[in-house]
Amino acid sequence: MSDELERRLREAGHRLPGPAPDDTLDTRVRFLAAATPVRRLSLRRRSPVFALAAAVVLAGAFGVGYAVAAGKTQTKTVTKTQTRVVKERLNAGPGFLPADGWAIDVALDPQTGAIVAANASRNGTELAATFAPASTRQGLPQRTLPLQLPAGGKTRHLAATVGAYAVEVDVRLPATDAATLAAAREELGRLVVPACPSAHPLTAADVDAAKRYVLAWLPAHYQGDPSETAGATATAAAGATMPRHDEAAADCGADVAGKSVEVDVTLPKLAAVSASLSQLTFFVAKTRDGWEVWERAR
Amino acid sequence: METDTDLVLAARGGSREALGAIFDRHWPRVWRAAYATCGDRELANDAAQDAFLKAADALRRFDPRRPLEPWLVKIAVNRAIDLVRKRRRLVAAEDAPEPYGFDAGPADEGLWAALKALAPERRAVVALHYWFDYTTPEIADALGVPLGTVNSRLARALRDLRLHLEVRDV
Repeated sequence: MSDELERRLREAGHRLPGPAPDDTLDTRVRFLAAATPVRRLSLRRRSPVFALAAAVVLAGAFGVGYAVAAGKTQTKTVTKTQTRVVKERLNAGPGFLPADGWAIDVALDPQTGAIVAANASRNGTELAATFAPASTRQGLPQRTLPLQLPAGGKTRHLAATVGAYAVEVDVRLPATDAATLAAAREELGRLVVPACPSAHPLTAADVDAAKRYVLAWLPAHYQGDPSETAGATATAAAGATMPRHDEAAADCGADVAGKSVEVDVTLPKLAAVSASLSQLTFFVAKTRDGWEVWERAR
Repeated sequence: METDTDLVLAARGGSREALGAIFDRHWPRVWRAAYATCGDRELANDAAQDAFLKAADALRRFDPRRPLEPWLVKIAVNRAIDLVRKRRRLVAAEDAPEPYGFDAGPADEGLWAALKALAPERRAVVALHYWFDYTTPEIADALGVPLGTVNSRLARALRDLRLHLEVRDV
């Protein structure tokens, strides 16, 4: 009996379930937030351009309020406004601008390909944002940044189309006092979503140029371990010849799609692990300020 | 592959990558240890999360030469035991059936039912010994109880399981 019991016990151990991915991500963010000294939270693994953009926005916030540009020139203000246009952030990819006291973890959902940015403060406030191409979620209201914290209790949810992305944000608050709500609103104001670009017409040489640009841009903007981008290769096509032209047109309109380049990247280091994660697609356009990645497609 | 010692030292130096690596390496097993003790996903999340948050606070004081996992398991399992006791008190006060139970083992329902009937302290010992391959001294160290207590809990747990299964199998 004893041997039989031990055999059954050991076999039962193999059937223990594991933690759910959402719970894992949630705890990971909280652990990083709790373990990282507050002053060290910001700007690690961010490009100098990203840091500059963050500094500009935070400088505005420390003055008499701040505004986050929703597009190239459009701004939306909160209370007293000191308007700052942060062009670089349009190329920063979806996520949150870094800020002291907040820990951000950005990952790709291996099942949907959506970008998931989990963000937690040391006082227990959590914001989990999911960014998917707008064409995958019909019927969401169009919004510009900054998004507004929806009414409710300790758990709040908002969903909207911002630029080329369908954005969903789940907010969990440890309390609903004024200070906690103000901090959550401020953090929601640091949400970054690339806008649909003011695209310039393309020339024949632009397809290769866009491909080179994306391969150079990728390591600093990849939502994962940058070392996974080593050895990346890419193919590119422009306008109506893009394999996913219809998706681009649905997300940012036919005009932008017609002036965009689809760059399909392969990450050889991930190919053996996950075929879907090893394939990345970006839509890029040439703008007044240079190349701009306006969407990471599914 | 970096050792836990390397990771703890790097994490103390401010490396978020090292912190992430510590979490990724130990979270699944610590969570399973908590789950094996309480048999409930929600409680296991709370217990395992507590372990990591306490570890985050104490990382600077932790001796990097010691293995990390038993330290994390100790916090998670003890927290899981506390949570089960607390929930039992609440459930008893409401005169309602206990809301927790394993959802992992339909292939051996009898055993899971017998495990569910154990006190969480005994279940923790069984889980650490048979599922995590801890020796009894290691369990004593992890749970912070004397070795004799571990031996006693293990023996009584096996006796209870045997009795439960014999009754059920008759």
